[in-house]
Amino acid sequence: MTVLLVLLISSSVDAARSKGKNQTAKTPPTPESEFAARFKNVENALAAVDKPYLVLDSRRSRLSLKLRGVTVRDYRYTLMSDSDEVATFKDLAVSGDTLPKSLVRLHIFDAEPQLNDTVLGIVSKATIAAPELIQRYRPGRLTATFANRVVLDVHALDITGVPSSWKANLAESLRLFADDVLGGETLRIAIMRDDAMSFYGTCQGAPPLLIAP
Amino acid sequence: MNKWTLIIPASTITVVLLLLGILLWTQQESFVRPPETANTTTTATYEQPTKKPSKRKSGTNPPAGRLKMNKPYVVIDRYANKLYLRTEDSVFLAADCSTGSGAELTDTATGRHWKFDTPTGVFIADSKLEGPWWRKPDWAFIEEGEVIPLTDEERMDPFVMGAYAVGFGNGYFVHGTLYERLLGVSVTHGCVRLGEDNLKYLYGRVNYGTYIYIY
Repeated sequence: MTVLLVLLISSSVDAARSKGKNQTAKTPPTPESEFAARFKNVENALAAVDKPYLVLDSRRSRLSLKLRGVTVRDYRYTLMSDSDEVATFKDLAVSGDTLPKSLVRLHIFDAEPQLNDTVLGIVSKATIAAPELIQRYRPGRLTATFANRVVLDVHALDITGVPSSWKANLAESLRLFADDVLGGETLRIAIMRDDAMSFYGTCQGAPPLLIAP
Repeated sequence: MNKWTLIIPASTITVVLLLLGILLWTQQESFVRPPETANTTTTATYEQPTKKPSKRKSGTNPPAGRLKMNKPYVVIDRYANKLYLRTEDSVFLAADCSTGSGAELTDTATGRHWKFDTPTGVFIADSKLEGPWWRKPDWAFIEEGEVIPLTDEERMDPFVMGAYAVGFGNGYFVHGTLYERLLGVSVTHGCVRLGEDNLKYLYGRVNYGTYIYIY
């Protein structure tokens, strides 16, 4: 009888211990872990369709273009913003419930055409394609404005492009200033010349932007 | 203080703000989509190699949903006309290529219409050909203002596709070119052209089932 009683007590103590362990294993979710989980869910949704999306990973200084969850292009960048701006940018970019930021505006300040007029004319005639379909541009500076006034101000420092119209450039500068005043945030980055061309082409497809936790 | 000293600067500021507003409004640019996404009537177009269609796999569409890549895959950037063979962390090949021009052609006699675009999305390499021949489709003759031949023999061209071709469905291929000076420019009818050395390297490393991402 005593043996049975001892066994009963020890098993109940073990049960209580294991219950305690289970309870301590659960930690309350932090804002960071919640954001990471939300980020993963949103990325899974974006990766389910055949449309590219951008992921900005400021810890690795990398802007990646992904398609179906697979990295198809890395745009390595150098920050031109100071660290305070980066911190504010990240806070702003992850705030709100619009986690994937849709691209709302794209502007080129200056760009270098890939083909000169003579070559463009010859190629256009040979391929029966309009010159504007064949021509490509390497932007010296472009701004991509996403939802919530999140702006990527992208510079290719080794390109001296031909400026776009001064009126359009002035208007865009004013819009950027207005966005800044109204609580938007801009991240200024420098990328390589080939990356700048690819990035501009990518942005023409209006990819949404995700900011990695 | 004279009331005019207050009114004049205020009205000047108002006028300046008004002008800025007009400037912003007139310069409001809508988002520019690439020309190839323009809403036009399209018909699939392709260049069709015919030699040695061996070991062709069928039913090789990529699975739905998020993909995981452990093996090298091919990436084609249509705007920059670049082809990459890469994994998530490494790039093995970065080469200039040529993709579809986006040009359109209409056969005035029959009303048939073609748009020469490279398709976008995820594809699977489903054929590998050595010494491919091009079986010229009707549009190749219409484009040149020639009569469409009645026999297949008159359509065959053994030279234009280079030494190798990797197919990725619907008659689209990565293949060679006679016009290497045009690599980096969008001049094709939808296929992807690559230089001789890079094509040989790619052909040696791409297998049936290799994923091809085009954007």
